[in-house]
Amino acid sequence: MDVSGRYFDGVRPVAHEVRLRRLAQGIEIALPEGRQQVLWLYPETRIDEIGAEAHLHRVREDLDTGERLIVDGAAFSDVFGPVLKQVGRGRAGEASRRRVLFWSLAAVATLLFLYFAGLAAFARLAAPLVPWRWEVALGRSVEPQVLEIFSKGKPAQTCGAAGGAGKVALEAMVARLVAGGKLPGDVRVDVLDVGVTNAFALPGGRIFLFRPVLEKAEDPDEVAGVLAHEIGHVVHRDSMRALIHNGALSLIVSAVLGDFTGSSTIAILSNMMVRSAYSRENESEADKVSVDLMRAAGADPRAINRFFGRLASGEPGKRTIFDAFSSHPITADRIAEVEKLAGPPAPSTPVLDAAQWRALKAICQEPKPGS
Amino acid sequence: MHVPTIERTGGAASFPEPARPEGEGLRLEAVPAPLAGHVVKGIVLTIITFGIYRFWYRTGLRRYYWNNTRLAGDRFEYTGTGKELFIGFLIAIAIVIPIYLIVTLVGLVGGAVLGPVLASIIGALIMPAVIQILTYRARRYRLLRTRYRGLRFHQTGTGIGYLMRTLKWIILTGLTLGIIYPYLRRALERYKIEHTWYGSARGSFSAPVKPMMKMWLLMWGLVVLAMIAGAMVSTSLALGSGGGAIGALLLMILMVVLLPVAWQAFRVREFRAFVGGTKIGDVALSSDLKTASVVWVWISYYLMLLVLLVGGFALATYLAVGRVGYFKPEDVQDYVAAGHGQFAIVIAIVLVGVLSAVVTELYLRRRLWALRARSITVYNLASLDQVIQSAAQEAGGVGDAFDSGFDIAG
Repeated sequence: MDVSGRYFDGVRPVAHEVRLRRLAQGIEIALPEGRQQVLWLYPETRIDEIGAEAHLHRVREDLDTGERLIVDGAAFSDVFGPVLKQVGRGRAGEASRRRVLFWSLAAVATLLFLYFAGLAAFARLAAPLVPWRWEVALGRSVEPQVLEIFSKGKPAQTCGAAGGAGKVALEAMVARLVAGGKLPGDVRVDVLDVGVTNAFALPGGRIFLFRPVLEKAEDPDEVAGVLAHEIGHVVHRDSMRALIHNGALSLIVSAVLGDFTGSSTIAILSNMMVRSAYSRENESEADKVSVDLMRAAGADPRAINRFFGRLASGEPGKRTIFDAFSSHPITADRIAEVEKLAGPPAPSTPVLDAAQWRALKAICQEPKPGS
Repeated sequence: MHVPTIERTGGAASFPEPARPEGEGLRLEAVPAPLAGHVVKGIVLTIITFGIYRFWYRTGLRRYYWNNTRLAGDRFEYTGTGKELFIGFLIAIAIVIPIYLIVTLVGLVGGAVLGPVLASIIGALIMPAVIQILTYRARRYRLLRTRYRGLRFHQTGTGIGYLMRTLKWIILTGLTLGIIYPYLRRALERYKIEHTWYGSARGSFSAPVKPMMKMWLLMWGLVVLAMIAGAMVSTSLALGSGGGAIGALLLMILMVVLLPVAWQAFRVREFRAFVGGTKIGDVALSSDLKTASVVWVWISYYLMLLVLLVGGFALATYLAVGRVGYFKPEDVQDYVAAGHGQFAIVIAIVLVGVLSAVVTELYLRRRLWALRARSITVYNLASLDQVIQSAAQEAGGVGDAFDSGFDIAG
């Protein structure tokens, strides 16, 4: 039984009217005008589709020969239905399963390495190379948004005015701490009139202490310890590290997921990751700087532990997500580590004298300039 | 080489050039085969597999568009596979991302040594340059996987060559404040077409810029006008003087209506000029694409998106609150802050996302494809008899998989 169809020989884009015959080993294609007939072995034969028309092509030695057959679908099924199981599958030149497996494993290995070690190392290497001026400019540009988040949408107020007693005391504290360290640039410190117990460093040496830190501290060294810890983040350029880590991660996430799922997913994911970027390691490094700076300033390096200890024991129910210590718990490890770094107790003098300390404590009660 | 010019004299649309061979041309057909099921399945699977299915989905879409584009009763064929794209992607992840990080680091070291200006110049140039090269390579991949009547297309030329041409024309265009942009477009299209082959038949290109230039100058004038309007708005904001409202109205009309329409009109003229200037061997082409039909596709598409967004918002509030209506912003804020309705909002976002992707494929891409394909007439198809498949082997191997991994365009 014969089927008529159209045949392209893969050499010229010209259709030949042909008759097909089912043989035991393949499809015999009879060309017109005495040209030699062609035999497609069944394993060489590939079916693109069988609809109203059946479309077939031929693959030899893993190459697409360009030969094509177009046949009436129903007639093709009638004649060749019984041999369809012998027909080959897949396209020419496709990667073998082994190759797919190899590259899958390679890709997964790269991703795991980057996630657990590579990106952090990259961020550590890259952060100090970013010019400080860029970091300052960056800090300035994100400052308003960050403050708005912490003050829950209301414009955030900083305490004290330039030249005021509180500000002078604060600057004195900063100057004593900074004297003992190697900073990439200047730090600027302000007290935020916001009721959460937190302190943070923005890119470019911009540090904010929140009002309750002053209220809950019992002596100037406790505040200085917290401040020195934040200066530690500045020394190590941790916000730059986090930014680089985060940026590289979102680049990779978007490469893996494609643009498909949209930038919102990526934003959410990388936001979750930024916490891991601001890692325990960074915190311990900042603790170490805190101890060093406090000791260099002749103050008590253990004061920060007293402060954290008091926070940990008090009012656990009233914390919000904005409290630093819910997202970065003060672990026993960190307290022990500070204890060890501080070494044997030595005599110390507080960073501020009694009058300065009173002024600093009262910085948020000073009348606001211009109000 | 003969240079055909398209000029309409006395309103009679005649094509008397010798480049157009005697005899009627043949129109490309765009077969309206069903697509919706394929799109929905592809998008859902892509989401479920965290994006991995997208390579197979994209391959399926190409197969759809190629197979349903027909010339003289024979269809174009896309022979690429999802697996090829996938393995290219794996290679990109395994090798290219680490290399990219290292290059960035080297750039930063360079910045630390040579100053931030140099580093930022390098940073701003390298990425677009790489993308330009990859775009060209991706076109090579697609052509290699395109067949008509059993014969393969392919592309010679190099990504670097394409990049150099782009750089040269960007500089020239910049120096002329963008006025000669159509020449840039033509130069790039020329490079692509002249390195395109169908079997032994090579592409040649000779499109006139004139038919596009008038629309481009109009577009350029509108941009200047938009800048003036923007300046009016910002000075009136800064100084509190009048003219702000007029400026804002002007700016809005420009941005929302005039500029997009002028841009589409320019692109349509460009399409006609480029298609008309393209020959593959002795096969010549022409296009009578209409601006109005393209603009209408875009308008109806945006209207559908708008309906989807409004519907999605209504759905989200209904799922969250149990009723649809007007809410005060403070109420909504309190409600969301209290942790209600987050799940409903996520559902609504996913639903709107999936539906808008479906609408984009069905009512934008497919309609534009059909309009463009049906606008094209092919002349002298009989000359294909002279074409033979070049002896070059079927392309394969890592280089090709690399191309497919960066198969970024479309």
